[in-house]
Amino acid sequence: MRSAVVALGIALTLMTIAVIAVLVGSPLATAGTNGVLAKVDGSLKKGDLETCQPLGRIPSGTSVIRVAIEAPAAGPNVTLRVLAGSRVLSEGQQAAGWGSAPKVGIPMAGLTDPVGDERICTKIGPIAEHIQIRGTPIRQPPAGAKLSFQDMALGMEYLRPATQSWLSQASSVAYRMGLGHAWSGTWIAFLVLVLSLAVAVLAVRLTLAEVR
Amino acid sequence: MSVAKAFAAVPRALPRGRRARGAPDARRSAASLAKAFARVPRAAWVCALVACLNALCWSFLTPPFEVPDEPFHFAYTQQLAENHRLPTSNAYAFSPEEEVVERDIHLYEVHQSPENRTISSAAEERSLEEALAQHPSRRGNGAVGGAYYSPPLYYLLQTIPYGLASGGTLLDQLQLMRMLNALMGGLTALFVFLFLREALPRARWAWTVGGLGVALAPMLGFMSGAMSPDAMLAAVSAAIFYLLARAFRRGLTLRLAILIGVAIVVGFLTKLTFIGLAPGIVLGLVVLAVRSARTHGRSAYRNLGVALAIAVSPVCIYALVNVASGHGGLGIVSRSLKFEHAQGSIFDKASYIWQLYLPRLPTMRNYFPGLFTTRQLWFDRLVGFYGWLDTSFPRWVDKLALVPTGILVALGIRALLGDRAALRRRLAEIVVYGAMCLGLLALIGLSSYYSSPSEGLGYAEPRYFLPLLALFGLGLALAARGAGQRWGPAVGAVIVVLLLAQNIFSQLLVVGRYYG
Repeated sequence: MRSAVVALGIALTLMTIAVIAVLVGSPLATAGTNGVLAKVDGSLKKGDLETCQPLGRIPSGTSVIRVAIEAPAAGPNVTLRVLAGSRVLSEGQQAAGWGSAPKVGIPMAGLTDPVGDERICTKIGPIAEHIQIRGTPIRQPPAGAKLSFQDMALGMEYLRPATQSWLSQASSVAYRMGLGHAWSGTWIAFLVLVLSLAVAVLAVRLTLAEVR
Repeated sequence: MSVAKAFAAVPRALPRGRRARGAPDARRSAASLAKAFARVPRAAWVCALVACLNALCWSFLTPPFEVPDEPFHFAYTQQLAENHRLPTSNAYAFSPEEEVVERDIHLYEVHQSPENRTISSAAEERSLEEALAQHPSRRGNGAVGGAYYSPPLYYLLQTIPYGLASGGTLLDQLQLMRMLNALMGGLTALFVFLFLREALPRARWAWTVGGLGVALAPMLGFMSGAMSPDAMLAAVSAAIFYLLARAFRRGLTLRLAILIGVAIVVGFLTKLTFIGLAPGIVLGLVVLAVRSARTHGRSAYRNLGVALAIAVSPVCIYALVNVASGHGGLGIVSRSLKFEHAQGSIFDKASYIWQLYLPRLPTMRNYFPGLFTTRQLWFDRLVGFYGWLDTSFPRWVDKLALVPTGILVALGIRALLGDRAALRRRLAEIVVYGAMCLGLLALIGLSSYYSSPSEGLGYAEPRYFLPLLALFGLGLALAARGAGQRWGPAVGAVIVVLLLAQNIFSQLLVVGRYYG
């Protein structure tokens, strides 16, 4: 049937364009940190919590801020706000369910220019599971009380697109794909490519043969 | 001696009398098997090949042990192969060889830390090779981590590639074991295709859409490209869906009853998650027997008895051995199911399980504050969730995926409503598939409920849905049919490309995460 062939052609073209768009794009790379060391661990069990800390200098072009909040499996809502006084300069959010990792990346909009002397506020919650946070105490809790979320400055990393595209890094990625496996060598990357192409060709040919 | 010669020599080695009867029997069985293979459509074999190659591709691009629980599964197989005993504890202390590999590939720095890459320099590679060249011991102390509670069949099978590659390093063995899993991925796609052929007999092209959709599903590729019993469970479950669908079309023959019974045994001995499917399968057998009894009389109940007897026999033997040795009836299995930690009322559990998958109803206690489980735990993760629950697409991709998913769901519903007469006619069959699905969801939910105080939402992993891939394939085929005769094939072609694209972008995501 002609419509199936046309639909297949259009869908494959769009997919190819999307793959090329991804490959000419750049991966995110760490451009700096806020210098807060992971001196203490804190744990949070429930509630909506917010803490603010000095922002310091952010590298230009930062598009994602990674915060030292660890979830065992699901991950809560995390919101970051950059404030100058009471004015919100930028805001980003990672919705709940981001998985299991010691840090969570929050996409930020409007942080294209370096800023300094502002505050960054981190809001977590509601919390459905036990959360770990890492950072440095910025004030001592009252005698006998435990260190709370509000007493800590959280460790943060600033990420921005690397100067090189994925495509220009292809040879180094291929080299690394050949390490740490049963068989060593860059040929592993080519094998993966050949297998991937074989899968695509077989699937398309079968679709053309059976569906049209 | 070649394998063919060895087989040819078997009849000659038999006593004369047995040879006379046995040889024609064997020839007849071989001929009937060959006929059965010949009846499988070429498209089904291509779907199997696609799934197999795709899993092979995943096996090369996923770093060793960077798949949930793969170190545990490897340790279990190594324990069986080297110490010839079942595991003795769930501690995280493996053989010196496995510990060396885990250290030198930086497993614990990389897993669940997306900012860390795997081994990336020639010096690190040399260090790994030198450590393995010293032939660290392959004998552990019986500890296999989280795989301790698993039944042994899958691991026994994996001792074959393990043994074949025993002259090489652990990495060689692991790669060969992953290749065996890739074959299981192929079997899954094959059985899903055959299931669709039985379930939708009039829509030949839709079988290909569903079969290819499953073959290209990245979660199947990811898990079949790793060493995990999830791949074998997926294959066994798909086979059972196929056998049941065949029985619903052609009646519960003795042969089908035996095959279903054997498949149930294999399922039980592969992974405990299979328990979730069991009530639905038993319901299916009962429905089939009652139906067949109308035309074939009591022989239908004999077939039901045969299937159930085969199915429960290993469980009974296992329970008897445990009771005789002074353990609980279900031994370590009962510990895995955590019956002894039973807590909360049945309503608490039902409410928890409901909320694990669906939005909370007004009267329910909120178990997941701030979490829209349907979307954030399941849908987003089905779009893409790899590594040790640490590698996923940016959120905008999940949002974008809602559009085609919504359209496909609407088309699927349209297909169902468009043929209400067939729906009514096949209600019992639909109820059976629904019961299998609900049983699995309930088991996952219950496991999550019991483990939530210590492990949080650790069971919210889409790989646990792999036993339902046959229904996923059915959904895709229905969606294509829902577009009508004119546009159905075009929509089918788009569905195949959508799954292909999801698979390719998932592979790029994983490559970027580990090697970027």
